[in-house]
Amino acid sequence: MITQKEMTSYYEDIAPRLTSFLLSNGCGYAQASDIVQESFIRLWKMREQLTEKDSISGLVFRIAKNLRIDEFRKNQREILVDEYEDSTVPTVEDNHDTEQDEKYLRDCIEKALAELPEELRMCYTMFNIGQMSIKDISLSLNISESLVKVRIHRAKEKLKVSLAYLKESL
Amino acid sequence: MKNDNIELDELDLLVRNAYRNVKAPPCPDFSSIRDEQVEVRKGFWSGVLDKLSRAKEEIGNGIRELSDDALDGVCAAGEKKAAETDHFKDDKDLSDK
Repeated sequence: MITQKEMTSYYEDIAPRLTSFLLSNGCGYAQASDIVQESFIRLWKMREQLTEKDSISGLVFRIAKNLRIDEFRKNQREILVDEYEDSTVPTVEDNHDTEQDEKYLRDCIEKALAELPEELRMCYTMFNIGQMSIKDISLSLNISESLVKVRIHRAKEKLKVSLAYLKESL
Repeated sequence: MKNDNIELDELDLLVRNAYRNVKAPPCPDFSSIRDEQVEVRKGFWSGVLDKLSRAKEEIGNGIRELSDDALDGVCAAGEKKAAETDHFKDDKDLSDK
């Protein structure tokens, strides 16, 4: 059974990646924070059922993914790509500091990710932003490892095209 | 850089870097989280124990009542038998005479 100390250590390792994964999938920071904390609380409550074979990272990402879907269903606030207002489209600003650079980058990336089909976006963000293993992604999404790799590859191809302008502006 | 046999290229690193400073929310205080499963289990067992003690009490009362009745029965039977014996005794005395 997982101790409180171990769970805190898992939180420190996984929570930043999970928060980033949720942000890259259309959540606001406040909503992402709620989902991250709730996911770990649920994991803590089911700690007695966990075995050594269970991947904590895979489990917590799966819980978070389901919570995110529930939240979107409940609030029906999902922003469709076509509904993006002009004001939310990222723009290049002069004299921006590192924090603003990152914000600008994230806005560009999130817009490009939002244009990807859900299944490609999920695989790519879990792999690259969530830094999950291919095995954990396949278990989490209930698809084969080779399909995960194909989806990541396809997502990358599309992102390279949609983010090509960043190479020039940075 | 390689990750699970997938080469991380410039794009991947760019995406990763964009999120490198994202801060996670504060860690929940796990010690203060009510353990519902344990509580449910505790609730279940305390319910079972309550029922058992109630049943034990009822059975105890039942036995006490039964034994009281039985004793009453024995006493009543004893009195009746004594009366009958006396009656026969009287009859026997008369026939002897």
